[in-house]
Amino acid sequence: MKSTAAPISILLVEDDPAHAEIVLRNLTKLRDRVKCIAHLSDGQQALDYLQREGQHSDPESSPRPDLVLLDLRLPRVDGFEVLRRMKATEAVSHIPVVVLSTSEAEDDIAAAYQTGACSYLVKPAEFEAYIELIRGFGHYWSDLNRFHGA
Amino acid sequence: MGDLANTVASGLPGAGEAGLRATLEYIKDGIFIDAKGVVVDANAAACSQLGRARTEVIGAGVATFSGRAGFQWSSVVSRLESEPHLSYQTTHVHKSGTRVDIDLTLTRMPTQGSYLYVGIARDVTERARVEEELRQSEQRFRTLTSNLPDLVVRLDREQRYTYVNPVFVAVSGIPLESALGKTNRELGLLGDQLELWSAAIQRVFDSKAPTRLEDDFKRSDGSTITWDAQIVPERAESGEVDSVLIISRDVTERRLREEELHHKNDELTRFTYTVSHDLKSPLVTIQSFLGFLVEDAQRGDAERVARDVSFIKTAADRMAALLTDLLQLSRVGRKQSAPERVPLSELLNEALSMVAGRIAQEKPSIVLTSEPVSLYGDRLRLVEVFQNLIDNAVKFASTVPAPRIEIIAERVEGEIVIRVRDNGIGIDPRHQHKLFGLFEKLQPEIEGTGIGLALVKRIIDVHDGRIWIDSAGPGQGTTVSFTLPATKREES
Repeated sequence: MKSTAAPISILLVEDDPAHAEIVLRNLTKLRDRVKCIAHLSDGQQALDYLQREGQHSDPESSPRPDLVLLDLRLPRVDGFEVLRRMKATEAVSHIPVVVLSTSEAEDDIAAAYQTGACSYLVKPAEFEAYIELIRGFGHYWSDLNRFHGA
Repeated sequence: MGDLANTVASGLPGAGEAGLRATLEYIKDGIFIDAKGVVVDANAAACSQLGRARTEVIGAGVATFSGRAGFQWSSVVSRLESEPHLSYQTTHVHKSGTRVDIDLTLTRMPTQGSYLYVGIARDVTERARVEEELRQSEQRFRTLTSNLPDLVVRLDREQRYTYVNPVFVAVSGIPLESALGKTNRELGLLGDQLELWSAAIQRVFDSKAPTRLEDDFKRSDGSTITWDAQIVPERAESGEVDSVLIISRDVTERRLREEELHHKNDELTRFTYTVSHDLKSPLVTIQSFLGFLVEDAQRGDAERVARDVSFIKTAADRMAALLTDLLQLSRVGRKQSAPERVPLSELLNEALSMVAGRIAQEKPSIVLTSEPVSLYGDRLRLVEVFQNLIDNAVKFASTVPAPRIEIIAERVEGEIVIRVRDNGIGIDPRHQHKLFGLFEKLQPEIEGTGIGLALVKRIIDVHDGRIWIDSAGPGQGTTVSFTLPATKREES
């Protein structure tokens, strides 16, 4: 099925450059459905971007994403704190957040959902599984977005 | 013969002498008739108490049978002139020489211008034996409970103390005489705690079954003591519970150990989780880029292939570094060399020489404020502590124009407290609890795997010290402090 709607825009928050590149390369395979509008490598930058503060104060250069793909272990401000503050900020509290983490700890998963994550994805160690995961993620959210937009 | 029956029969109209004699013979108490200090008649029970034939008893002097030294018949006679009867405990001597405990009642009866004296002797040897046994058993109970390390008390149905052992007195600071007869409320137990104990004790009285209670109390010095109490019913012969015994064991130390163990367990869980998480992260990178590598090689994209290989190499190096650190951490728990006293200045010099490279690069000023102290422990490990802390301090301070590192050592209450202070980037108080965690890096731009402080904490733990971090927040500098129980060990 060929998509006719605009691809959904994603903000990627990931401190590990290798992990960020894995996600970005996998996302390019879905470029008609998903588009990464920004990649930030710590929690504070992500909050500045979303709340349009500091170097991201210009709304032109910091368009609001349709979705945030968020790592948990982040420098300065960790992923849980980013989630908490997003949910407490009216302008961005509606943006769905999907957590993407290596952690399979039940505590982390439960805490992420409690703090307001829409979904929790565990980074797979296998290449094929990773491709599959990002493909599934992209299709689900772009379909959902189209449905909502219709 | 005949005096006894005759005398008594004269006051009982219609009762024949023979019938009365038979009756007296069946009475289990010994009956003696004495005149002028000589037995003139005695029944079968009296003879049996003395182990003698009636012929041996009648005609014998009363003093012969008395177990009391200095017995005077005349004093009995004179006392009965003013009192209707005498009752007292005494002993008679059995023919075999053993003593028979008796309750003796003496009265006199007028007869033909004189008096006859009637003695009724009840053998209470068995009762005395039971009483003696009870006394001995009580004595054994007290000897036992006085020497137990446990706290032992007894309470009656009104929940009043009828016994407290020396441990109770020592721990509560309440003297024995102040505790006996009092209730817990009267001894100052309050609120919920009073309710808890009263209810538990009452439950034992009602259910007649023992129960167990663990509870914290404040010692007179303010510290907390945890008692594991067993409340046991004590049944009277009737089967009713007329008292309870509370035997309490001081489990403060055990409780602390349990908490410590719990804490260690949590630490181990976190450790295992961190290790698996941190080792998995580079593995994800390696696996994914191996996948990309295959794709890029098939396309013949040499530039991308080189990039893929570079990511794989970085991740593999990271795994190797993590594994090296883990091994180092696991070795800390094992004693490598015998503990020794090392002057602080020596430890610092060795540590400074090991971070000389970074110091030469950042050129911080380093100040030592200390009286001459020695630390006691594994020399190499202690050097590692200072090496890591100084290295961290130099790294943290490298962002400010005039980096300054201060090392302060002082004796505080038998411990040596050492502080390593920098004027660098500081740490948000919200993140300070994380710092001793494995591979925790709050500043990704600062190099290292993040094992340094975890390693330092482990070394201090092994040396029975404490370690903590103070920082007012970002930009406010950081102070890492630790203690070592130096003085105590120096003396021993």
